[in-house]
Amino acid sequence: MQDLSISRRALFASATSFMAGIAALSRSTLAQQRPLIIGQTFIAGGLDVAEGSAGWAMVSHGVAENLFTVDRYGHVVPQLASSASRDGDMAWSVTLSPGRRFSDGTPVTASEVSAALSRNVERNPATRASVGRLQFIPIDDLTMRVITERPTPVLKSVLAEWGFAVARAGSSGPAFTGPFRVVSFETGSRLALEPNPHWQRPSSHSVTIVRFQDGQSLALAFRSGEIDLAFNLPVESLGMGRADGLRTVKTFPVAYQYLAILNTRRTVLSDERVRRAISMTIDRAQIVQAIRGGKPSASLWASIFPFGDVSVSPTDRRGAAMLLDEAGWVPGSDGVRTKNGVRLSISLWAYPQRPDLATMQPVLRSQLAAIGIAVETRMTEQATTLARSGDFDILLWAQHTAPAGDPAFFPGLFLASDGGNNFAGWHDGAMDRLVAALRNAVRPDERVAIARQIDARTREAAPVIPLVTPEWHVGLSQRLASYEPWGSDYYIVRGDLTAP
Amino acid sequence: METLPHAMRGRRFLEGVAFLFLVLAAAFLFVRMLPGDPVDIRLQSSMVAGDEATAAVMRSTLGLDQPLWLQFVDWIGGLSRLDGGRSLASDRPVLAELAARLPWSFAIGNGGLLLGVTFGTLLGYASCFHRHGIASAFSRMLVIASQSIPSFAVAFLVFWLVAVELQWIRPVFGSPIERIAGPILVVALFATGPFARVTFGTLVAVQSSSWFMTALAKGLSRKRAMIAHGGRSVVVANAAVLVPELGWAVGGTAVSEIVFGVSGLSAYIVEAAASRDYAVLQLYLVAIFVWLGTAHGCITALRSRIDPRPEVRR
Amino acid sequence: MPAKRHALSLLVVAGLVALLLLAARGSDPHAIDLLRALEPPSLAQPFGTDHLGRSIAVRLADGLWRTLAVLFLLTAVAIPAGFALGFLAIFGSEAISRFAICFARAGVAVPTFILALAATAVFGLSPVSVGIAIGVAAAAQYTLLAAELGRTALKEHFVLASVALGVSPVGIAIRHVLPTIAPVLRRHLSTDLARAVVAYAGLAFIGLGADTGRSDWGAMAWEYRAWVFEAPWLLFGPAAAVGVLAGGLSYAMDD
Repeated sequence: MQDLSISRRALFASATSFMAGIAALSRSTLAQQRPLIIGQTFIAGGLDVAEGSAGWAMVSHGVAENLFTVDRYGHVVPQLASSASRDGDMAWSVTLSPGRRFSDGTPVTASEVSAALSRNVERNPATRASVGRLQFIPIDDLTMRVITERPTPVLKSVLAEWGFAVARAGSSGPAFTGPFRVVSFETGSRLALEPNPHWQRPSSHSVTIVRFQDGQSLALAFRSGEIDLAFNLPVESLGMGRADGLRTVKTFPVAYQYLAILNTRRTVLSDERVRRAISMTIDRAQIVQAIRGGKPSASLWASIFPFGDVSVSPTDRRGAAMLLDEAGWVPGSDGVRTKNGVRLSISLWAYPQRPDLATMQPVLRSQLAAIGIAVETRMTEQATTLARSGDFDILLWAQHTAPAGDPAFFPGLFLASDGGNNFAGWHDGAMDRLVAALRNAVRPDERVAIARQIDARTREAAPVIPLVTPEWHVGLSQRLASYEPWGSDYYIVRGDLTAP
Repeated sequence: METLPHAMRGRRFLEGVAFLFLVLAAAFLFVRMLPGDPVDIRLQSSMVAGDEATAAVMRSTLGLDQPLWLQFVDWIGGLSRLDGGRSLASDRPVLAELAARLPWSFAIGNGGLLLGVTFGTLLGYASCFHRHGIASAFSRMLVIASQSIPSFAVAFLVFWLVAVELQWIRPVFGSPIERIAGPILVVALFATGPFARVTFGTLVAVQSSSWFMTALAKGLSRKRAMIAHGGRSVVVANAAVLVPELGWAVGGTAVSEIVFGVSGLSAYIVEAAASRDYAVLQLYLVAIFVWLGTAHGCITALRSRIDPRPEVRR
Repeated sequence: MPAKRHALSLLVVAGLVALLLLAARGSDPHAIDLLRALEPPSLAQPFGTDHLGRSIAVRLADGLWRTLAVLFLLTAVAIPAGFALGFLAIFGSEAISRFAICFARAGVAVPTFILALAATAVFGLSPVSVGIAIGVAAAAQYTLLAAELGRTALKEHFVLASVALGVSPVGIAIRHVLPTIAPVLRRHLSTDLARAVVAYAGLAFIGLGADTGRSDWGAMAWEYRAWVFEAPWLLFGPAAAVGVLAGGLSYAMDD
């Protein structure tokens, strides 16, 4: 009799002592004032702003700044620089804001900034995308001359792009000008920050940014009370847990757009009528319902921008079917259209880094099946590699289409014949002319008008079909209850993080 | 004919060196055989297209334009100086990157397995003492459940139960032990089933052996005899299952590491594999072989100490 | 008695499979119906509907063939390789035997995680490549088991008698070694089969990739991972399916 209880007791004892030990250890480390903990699904890959997209991440983390930045209303406003004026066709004069310092105390001067930005231009091809190679020449302490390779009326927007984050190569690592400075960095997982004492209004709290590879764990950690700001909670997790007064979730629209990139090099999709038929048959409202949030969008830009268009033409299955008939695609016995023995079958790709895209795949598949297009859905972990290889028919894509508050970024990169990201492989004289016109247009209303024309042309030829403007969810603890999210994921950690 | 002692020691040493060389060569070749070029992948994933000149510069910086055997020699030379090269992605020393992450994965994998063996053995005994009792049904259920429920679901549930509902641990910002408690529990849950079944099976076999009958005849109670005399067979049998379970644990920690946000090896290696970060992958394979080899050696030593006889199978 | 249990459990599993296929006959697994999203299990929908309104029962039936294909692939890789190498280990010369054992030991030593990484790097992650990777690992383990058991079996009196009578090694292998090895291998196989299906979900989760186009049960489990709290029946569907399969197999193959 005793032996049975020996094993049972042993089991019970070992289990409880294990748990008790853990609980005891956890109580003991509750001590000091905790930093604000921010949970995200991405983190900087490194501290060098000239490497890859580290510049973007460092600005988002509140560490680095640009000469100009984009405010919550989408306007380009001064940050490290106070003004910029055009001197000639390709020359500008930029004046820096006085009294600014790097996080190591060094004053921000034109020579420091010129050296920093020249280094970025040298090492990061992304800086050359908009206006070619920029040259920075210091004139005096607070004035710089900027020479562009291509004429542009919107240098301020260009300088607000993430490739132009300002960093100084200090003795013990890079120094930045943002509201927080780096204490320690565990590559790829944790970034510990403290208030930058040389910033205008130093914050009162330290910040630690923790990367979660999975959105669900981020949601769980938020619910357990450990996270003060959970950025971009998956929509499925919002219903989890008790609704207590301790935590809030704020939803905000972002400037990313979900797009479908159609590979015009493929035989099936090279026909404009097929692409337009696809565009006409997509039911954006159903997509929004499936991903549980967001707004339908038929414009390349989100509607928060003045050049973004809100109108969405209704779904027209009959019209789409007629277009396909006209193009010679005849419905077969199994419902799939054929032409000269070839089935109208396309591959629809998405990538898991944006879970909404995966959710959209089955919806699009069933919508296209309604007009006789057979769809095979596929996934890739390396979206950019797939896009460059051209080994796809339709690729679902999430993109911030106006990162610097200016419409020229996206068409120049994705729609122009010589665009660096022209994944659709589209070569259209009309679009090229519009892009060139946009590059040269000086007045804002002119730029908006040309942007509208670009939208219209895109709708006609459908190399890229905008689908949805998503909205994101931010979880906030009581300590950050007054935080207002804006700027998508470009400006998460800001100086006003702990403002009352 | 007796061989001279120091000649034999010399031969053993040479064998050891040869084996080590084989392991290094295997790791190197295994990684280099993977299709895809790290430079191409790096350039393709950047925002703007690179060009041939950039690619050539990157290749020569990484030493990838040299013949393969020379790269191997360079790598081995570096290892002898404790320099495993630099990571392609972060440009930091590979040894430092792996050394920072290895302890976490190590603790989770080994800790989880140890817990699993313990619980599994106890559960196996309980099932044997009470045939058709709760323990038996539970262990059978556990085995089936651990085969059919994906590990991330269990990890989420454990996280929710222990951190959100009961608030016993703080996986994100707690002490190191708190951070690995959850993952260890998850690994243990999956490991318990197989060990419970093996223990149970061994005990059933023990019951029909002659020396067990002798022990009973000598007056020991059934249960005491099982513990005292069956214990050795159980340890030996579990030791045999431990090595393949260790193999599973290497991957099994990956899911828990991701769910609980522990900066262990697994997620890091997945990214390194995707970007073909040769230096990282090569050193990782060597580390894994060494870890498993050591574990295997320990287990074999333990096994032969406990039971020097060759095992009888049913 | 064992034969009866085998037959009975196989019949039950086959019956369940037939029921599932019958229920799903004619339905389109890809048909979405957002008005009926996330419905809990009911009479009309035995496993409920998922977040897009697709019937989980129909998807399970659709994924059955692909899942079975993965299982078949694994068995086709693991069993013949395990037997062949084990045969070499038992009956081959000293050198061949050592080589086979060494090879198998290396195969067991390489964690499945690394094999899956390699398989993904070469083939891309799909349930099929995972099945092959696990099949290779399983083959190594079966080789070692076969070798050890076979060696023990060879020591039995009746086997020695067969050898004396001049029966060929192949004959001995089939008549005497096989019956000893078979039950043990069956037990391990049933475990590995279930593990292979679910392993796909775990590997997709850790970022090796995901192929949700043609669903198999593991891919479904990965796709429904976000709903574990809000709609647990989504995950219950594929888990129950794998569980029934695993349970049935292990019951059928256990001694």
